[in-house]
Amino acid sequence: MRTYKFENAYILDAYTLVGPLEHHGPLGLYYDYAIDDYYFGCKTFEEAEMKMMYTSIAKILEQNKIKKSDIDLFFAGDLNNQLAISSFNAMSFKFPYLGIYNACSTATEGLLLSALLTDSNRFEKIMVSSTSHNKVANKQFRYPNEYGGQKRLTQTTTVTGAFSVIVTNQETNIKISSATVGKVISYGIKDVNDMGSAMAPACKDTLITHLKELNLMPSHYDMIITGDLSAVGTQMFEHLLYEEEKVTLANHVDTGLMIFDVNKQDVQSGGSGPSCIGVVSFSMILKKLREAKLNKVLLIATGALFNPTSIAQKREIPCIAHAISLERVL
Amino acid sequence: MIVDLFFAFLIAGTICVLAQLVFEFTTLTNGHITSLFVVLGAFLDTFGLYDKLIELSGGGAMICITSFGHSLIHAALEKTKEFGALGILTGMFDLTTAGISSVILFSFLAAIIFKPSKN
Amino acid sequence: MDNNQYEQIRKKTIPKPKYLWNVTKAFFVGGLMGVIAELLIHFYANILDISLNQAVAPMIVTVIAITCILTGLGWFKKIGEFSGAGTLIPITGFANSVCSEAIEYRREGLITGIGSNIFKLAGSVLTYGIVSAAIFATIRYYFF
Repeated sequence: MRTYKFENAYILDAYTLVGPLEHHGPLGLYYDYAIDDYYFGCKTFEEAEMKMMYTSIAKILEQNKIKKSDIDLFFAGDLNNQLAISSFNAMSFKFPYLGIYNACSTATEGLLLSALLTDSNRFEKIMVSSTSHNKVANKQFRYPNEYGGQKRLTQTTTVTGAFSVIVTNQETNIKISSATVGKVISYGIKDVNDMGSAMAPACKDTLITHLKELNLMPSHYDMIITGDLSAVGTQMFEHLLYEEEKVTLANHVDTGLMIFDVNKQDVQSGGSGPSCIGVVSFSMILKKLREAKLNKVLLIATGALFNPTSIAQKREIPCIAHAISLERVL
Repeated sequence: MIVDLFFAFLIAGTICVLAQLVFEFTTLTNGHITSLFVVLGAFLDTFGLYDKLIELSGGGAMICITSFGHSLIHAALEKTKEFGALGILTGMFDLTTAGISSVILFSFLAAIIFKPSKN
Repeated sequence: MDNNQYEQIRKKTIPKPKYLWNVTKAFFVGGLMGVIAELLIHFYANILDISLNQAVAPMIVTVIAITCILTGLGWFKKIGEFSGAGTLIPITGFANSVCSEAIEYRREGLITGIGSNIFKLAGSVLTYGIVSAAIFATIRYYFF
């Protein structure tokens, strides 16, 4: 059994930042802040990514009049080698720090860990942050940013974004009602340019486990929100659900397809990155939950757990998906 | 002159089309494709075939990365006339010096002057 | 479902590129590169009063210099995205791969940044060019 229900895990508040491309996307007006260009006033893209996470944390503390010392624990992760961005921010804020990494599933990993801990009442306020930056990810995983090569249609575009969420054991009107811990799944995909297809099996496995262990129908949720599958991954996810589980979802959306307009913006299959599901869920979805336009949502973030060496050595791409559910309580 | 330009256009365009077809129908990366074409250029000049292509199209054949492979083997074989087998190693970079020196120099200068664009 | 079946479904699901359009773009841009090269060769042969063969080297230097400037200005990546093999195969692709690495890693220092990373992409072109030229030259020299 890897699904947990919570009594004392609530969302206190969230803050989201995005880059220029996301700002011009369909959800442009929902984010708290949008940076004008990829440098955000810094000398390097890495510094810009650090500043984005820094800003999200500083603003959320300021807006809720919370002191740094009130934060009991800081879960943070990013795509940089050895979690550099998260670590430098942990140093800036001096929070008790636990760095986490699950690629694009880091957001829900952080949230479920926070919910498990606040539920015990031993922790009052836990900060969860994640970030990704298109230019930094390109440099680390793909090509230099000025490289003029053609992109594959199955590729996803790394989202430039940062978000911070404070999870608390004090009651608010948005509860983290349950979470399912993912298992690492692979159906043998080795193509690093098609991560959507690699991640779909893990997503299906976590969704079905969540529904079975809680004895729920998919329609229990107003929306089942997946992170980063994008165009190709969403289709593969739906194929798998139908072929293997005879399930068809009527309420499924994917943040990789919500954050960008795949028809008008040059993003190939859609968006991906640790911040993708975070910036969409904690801007637009959170707003709708607060306004009672949505009552219950399930967030399933999917991550591809490869590294450039494993790809060069022709290994498959192992993937994971963690799920958390958010519920409006009156 | 017009005939020269026509063949330059045709040959360079054709080589690029071959590469684009490889890109579309395989999962080979740009690095694989350029390496493949360099080797192809070297192979074609083993028996002087690439020289014929250069006679026909001039700049068309010389601009492509295949000409890099051709220049390497061409210079290597030239030097063997003077030094025997050792010439393969001593002569290899004779024709490609301009390309390599300028690419490193101009890239270095560009790195000093420019930074990755902000958009 | 086993891995093979999943791969079959994936192959049917992934979007098909616009093959004809991509190939056409590569042909015309690549052809244009050929024309520019030929014009430059004749230009240098005339003004420097050298043979056409000798004019190839200044042509290559010119094309590389222009590519590095375009890469630095941020224009080359848009051109490259458009023309694919049309700019990858001419010497512009080689120059862009080296130049873009140098520009990207400048902030990590002259030695550990630019120096260590400048040939990350183009290294395989040099390596296999030399290895294959050596092998083919040896075969030609000894057997023919």
